[in-house]
Amino acid sequence: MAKKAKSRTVAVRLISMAMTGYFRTFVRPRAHRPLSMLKYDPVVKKQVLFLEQKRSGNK
Amino acid sequence: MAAEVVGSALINRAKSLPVPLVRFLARWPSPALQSAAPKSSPGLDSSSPASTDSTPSDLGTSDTDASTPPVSQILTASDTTVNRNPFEPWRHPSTGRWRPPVYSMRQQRELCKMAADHGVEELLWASKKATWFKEKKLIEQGLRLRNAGPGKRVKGHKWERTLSSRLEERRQAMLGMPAMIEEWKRLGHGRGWKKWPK
Repeated sequence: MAKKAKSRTVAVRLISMAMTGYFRTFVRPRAHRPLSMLKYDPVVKKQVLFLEQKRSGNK
Repeated sequence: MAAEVVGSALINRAKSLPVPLVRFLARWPSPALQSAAPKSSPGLDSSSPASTDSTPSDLGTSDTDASTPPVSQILTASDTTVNRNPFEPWRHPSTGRWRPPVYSMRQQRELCKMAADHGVEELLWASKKATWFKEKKLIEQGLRLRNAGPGKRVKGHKWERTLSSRLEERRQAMLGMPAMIEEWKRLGHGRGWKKWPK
């Protein structure tokens, strides 16, 4: 049976580098480079760096 | 002369006490009160002969309390009832049967509170409701928390146990945040970034 085709986009999780456990979810093209952006973290109440979490498996 | 002055001061102090407390002290003079009685008030001594005249230092016969019999009559009624602590259960010497305290826990609490408010708590019998007893138990048993005390610790929730370490990690991360953002900007806003979190 043929494998199901992978979607063109993937949902990724950007986690706060302030180590608060806060994260935001984005959708990016599968072939795109990993996302990273400055966003507001409500736990530390500051704008901090958010980096995309490494995806595991064959997602 | 000096003894009279001291005696009058004690009388005034006794008159300022609440009636239930005075009634109790007259009915159940504690060892502390009995030892102090011969100096200031001979009427309170149980070994002294019964005197019918009401001395001014007689704690039991205040003007407002007419129903209370004279102290001397009470004290000479029975030594076994007078010399025991009315705040504790009592075992009859001949029958061996236990009797509850003369004063219930609620009444003990009220008497101790009244005495403490008027600064005469040391004149009462030893009670579980006394301030000194409660302080002693507090020191011995702590705040009576489960698993709390010497050699034990409260387990708590996981978020409570890990809170300090997580806050420290967050603090360290925020200390390094400006440098990390500078590095991120220098590397083209993530284009050359290698350290992705797992």
